[in-house]
Amino acid sequence: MMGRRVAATADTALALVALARTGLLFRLGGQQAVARATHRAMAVRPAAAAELAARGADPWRTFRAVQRARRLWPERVMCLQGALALQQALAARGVAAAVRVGVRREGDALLAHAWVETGGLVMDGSAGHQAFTPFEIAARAEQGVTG
Amino acid sequence: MTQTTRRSAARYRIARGVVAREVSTETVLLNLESGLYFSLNEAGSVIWSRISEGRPAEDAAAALCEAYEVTRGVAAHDVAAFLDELLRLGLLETP
Repeated sequence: MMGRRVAATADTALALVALARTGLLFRLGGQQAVARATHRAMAVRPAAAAELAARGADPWRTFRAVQRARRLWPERVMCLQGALALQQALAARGVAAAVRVGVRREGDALLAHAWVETGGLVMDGSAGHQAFTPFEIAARAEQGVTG
Repeated sequence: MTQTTRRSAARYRIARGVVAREVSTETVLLNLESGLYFSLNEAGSVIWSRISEGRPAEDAAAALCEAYEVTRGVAAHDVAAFLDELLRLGLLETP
């Protein structure tokens, strides 16, 4: 029980660091830096389900940690920042994941949303990704894991 | 070869970092270098689909003529203006 709690705390700390790093990017990097980071994140080839199973990796554990960190974060975390942070946290655990960006039309507004995919799993911090049409870009195997 | 002929025969390529997706009847372009995204209406989507396949501007104008009741001259003019705008926005490049 105690070991699990320590592991969860470590996961949350890792997620908070990822949020802090992406927060700095959004705050100081400017729109172009965010766009380029997003581009790199979208180009990552996600791990295959078999690979995660073989390694006993549990990306949902990292996802839950990022969700906890988002609740602790003093500011509202937008979906793109949350997705980039999750990807970084997963990368720190050796799990390659891709950020997906999708769009949908709602009246006069064009809405965008971001989420993460790895091992055939869709990890969406705020749900609703089904309503968005994702952009597809060629994954770059050499891109590997960022963060 | 006149300038008009050269332009109508010109081919373009999608700029680095630009991705496109059809959403219903429109095409959404996302520029991952700038972070800006754009929406093309149906007519713009007709042009984009031809140009993004590497076909020349004149093919896009012909497609516009087929889809809408416009003369070849009007279509060529509209396509040229549209492509100029996409070049200006950094969404297309000339090879």
